Amino acid sequence: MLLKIAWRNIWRQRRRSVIVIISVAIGIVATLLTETLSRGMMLQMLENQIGSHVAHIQVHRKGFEANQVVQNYLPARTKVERLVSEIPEAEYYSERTITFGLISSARSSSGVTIVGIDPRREERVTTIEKSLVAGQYLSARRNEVIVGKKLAEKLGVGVGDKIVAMATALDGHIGSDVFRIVGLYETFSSEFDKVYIYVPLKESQEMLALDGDVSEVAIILRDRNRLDQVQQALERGLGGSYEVLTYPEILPFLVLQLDLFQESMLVFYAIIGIALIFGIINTMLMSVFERMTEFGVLKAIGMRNGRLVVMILLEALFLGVIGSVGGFVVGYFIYLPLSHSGVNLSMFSASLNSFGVGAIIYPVLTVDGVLNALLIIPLIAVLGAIYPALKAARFEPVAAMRYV
Amino acid sequence: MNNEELRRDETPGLKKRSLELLLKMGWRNIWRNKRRTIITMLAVTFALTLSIGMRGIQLGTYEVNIKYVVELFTGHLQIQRQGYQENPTLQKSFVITDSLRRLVEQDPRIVASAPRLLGDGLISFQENSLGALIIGISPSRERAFSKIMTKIHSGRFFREDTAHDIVVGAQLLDNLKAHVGDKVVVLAQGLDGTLGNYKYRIVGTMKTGSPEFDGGSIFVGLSAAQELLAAGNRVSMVALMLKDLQDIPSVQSSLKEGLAGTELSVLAWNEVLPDLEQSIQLDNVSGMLMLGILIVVVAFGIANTVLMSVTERFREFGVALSIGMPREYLVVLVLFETLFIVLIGIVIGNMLGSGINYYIMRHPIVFGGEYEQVYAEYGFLPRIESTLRPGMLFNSTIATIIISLLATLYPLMKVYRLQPLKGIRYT
Repeated sequence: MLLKIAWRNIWRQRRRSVIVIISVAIGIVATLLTETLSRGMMLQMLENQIGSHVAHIQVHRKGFEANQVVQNYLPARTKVERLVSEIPEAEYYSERTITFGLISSARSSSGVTIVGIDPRREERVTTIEKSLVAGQYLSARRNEVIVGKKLAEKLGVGVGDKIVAMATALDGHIGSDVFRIVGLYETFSSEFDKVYIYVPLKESQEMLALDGDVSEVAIILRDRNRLDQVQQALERGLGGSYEVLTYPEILPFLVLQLDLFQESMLVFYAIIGIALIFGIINTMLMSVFERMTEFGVLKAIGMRNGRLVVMILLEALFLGVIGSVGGFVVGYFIYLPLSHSGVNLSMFSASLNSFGVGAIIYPVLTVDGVLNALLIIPLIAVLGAIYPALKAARFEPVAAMRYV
Repeated sequence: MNNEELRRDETPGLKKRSLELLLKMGWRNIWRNKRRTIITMLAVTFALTLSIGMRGIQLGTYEVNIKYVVELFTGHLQIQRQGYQENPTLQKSFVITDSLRRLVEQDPRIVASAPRLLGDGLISFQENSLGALIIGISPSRERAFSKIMTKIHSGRFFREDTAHDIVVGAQLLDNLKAHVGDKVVVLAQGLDGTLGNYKYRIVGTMKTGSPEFDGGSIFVGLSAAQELLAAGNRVSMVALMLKDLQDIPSVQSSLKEGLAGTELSVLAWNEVLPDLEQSIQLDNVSGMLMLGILIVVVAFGIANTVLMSVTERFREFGVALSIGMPREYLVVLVLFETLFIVLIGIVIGNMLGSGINYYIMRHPIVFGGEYEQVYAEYGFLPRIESTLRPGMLFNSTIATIIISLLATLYPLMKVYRLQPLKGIRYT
């Protein structure tokens, strides 16, 4: 009954209600697009990191993450490999040697991270093979290397040129080897491209005197939600001399940033909400005052104050809900094409590159984002109606009836 | 009496007296419904306080960051060989000629200059080797120039042109598992392509808050770097500090003129650090967008208030029209009412916003913990500062007025189209 009356009441002043609804809708559209775009940017940063190198889970000797030296190679590699291949959730894995080194061309040199990979395994785990912009991926031939395009430019080399890589070997001497560049890659992070170079696993093991050992096993899961279970299973199977790290542990900074982002979105909602609440208070006040006579009659024939308050709050709730849903629908139809085409921010490409994302940002809508918007805004509308509703309740029936 | 006066104005244009009258009427009208007026004013005040506060914080924080980065190491301008910025290699180093030296020394706007040689190397301590940027500096020149030498974390800075002592980033020292006083080997490829291999002693570490410096740089004496990198007396850049930020474009163009015909170019800090500049722009644009949204939402509130105040007075307006008030006058009246409300809101908002900025200018907010990490990762100082630029207040004010006026267009049209009889009968 009250619901019905409230619903009819808001349409008695159609123009006014429509303006309130539009302002709520604009607030929702704006927050929806801001939220999806920022979230998309952050998830892209995370996905790019996972995809270009980090993978979902990494297994090392304990202490490798803090101190990535050859000496911290993975003990009992075959045991780890067997365990990983027995876990059904682990879809793909790649074994790598990782070491800091210096590479030199005839002209110049640069400090890099030399990653020794099994090309066939690595291409399933990371996107390096798909990121090639020139030449080709590592084949079975010896002494091939792929480097970032940025690094190649810095060193003044191209596909087909030779470089010398040097790194400290297991026994402490400086190991070195000559490699021929077969391909250049380019990821979304200029920093990454300047640092990581990929050589065949076998040669890196020879150069580092590793004798068949590797530094880490990087694992991609079938289902990312099983991250913790797989981590626990591996930890149980491997024991204390290993470290099993999930990507949030390897990229604490990005995860932290996602948290901060949630907080800053709440602040954004609050600000838009406060801006909206002024309009809602005003509208509800007006609508209450112009109906004072009516309220007086209602009270005189026995309507309880409580019900009157509820009715007015319901009116505000309706306005808020219609505006939010309408805004959501409009926002969603703006979002939908953008989520496919992406938003081109190439005027900020250098900045975005240093953050590790490309110039095209794909907005991402999550259930969280929708819920936030659809819950907070109508609630704010109700909040804004409390003062007008109390005003209406406080009037004496007779005074209200005489009110002009 | 009022209406007689109004009737005597036969031209549609507004006479001064009637204008005064309308102003007075408008002012009284807005106080006929005090509560509504105050709430609308509060909305405008809120929007303006927030936008001025936020703009101040954004611009102020950018300013400090730019100042910090520029004074830490980059300098206002850098003289580099053409192409060095895109591809910083030893091949793009150059010799400081007498004419270049004279050009820099003769310009009174340049207060300091520092020559530097940069190259990539591998630093090894026991079984640990890490890639790092070798930065050759002249301590005496650098001390007068940048703040980098004040960022010593432990130990001390090396003296002028020592061949044995180096300073490394604090994080790099940790990663190497070395300590101040330890001897390390630095391996680097020289200009001629040969590998140089020198032993140095770490005499100090530095902590700047920038991961690039703290985690991956080695500071050595300029001549030691030139020897290690087999670069003769060449340098990678000469960084320049100016007396006044405003002079950057003029000094840049006069130096460019002086260097015409040579292979050297002059870059301003924002060309040297395009990602810092773009990060600032990105933040700036997103901040402005958010304020735009805020003002639009508030404008809808204004539109609604004006619409309501107009519709409830249709009867009154109808009477005014039928006794001969020109409809333009009614429109102007409503416009005045809106302007009063918006302007009062703007004045209060400007005061509150400026107050916030002033307070933050006096007491900058400094972050610790998690925020500090995030800021550092993006190359920003973990602090919030503010500024009070007249332009900032002006822009927010103008934007609010324009959007508010746009918002009243619809109610104004309603008033303009009002038929006297309809107005009188309107309930």
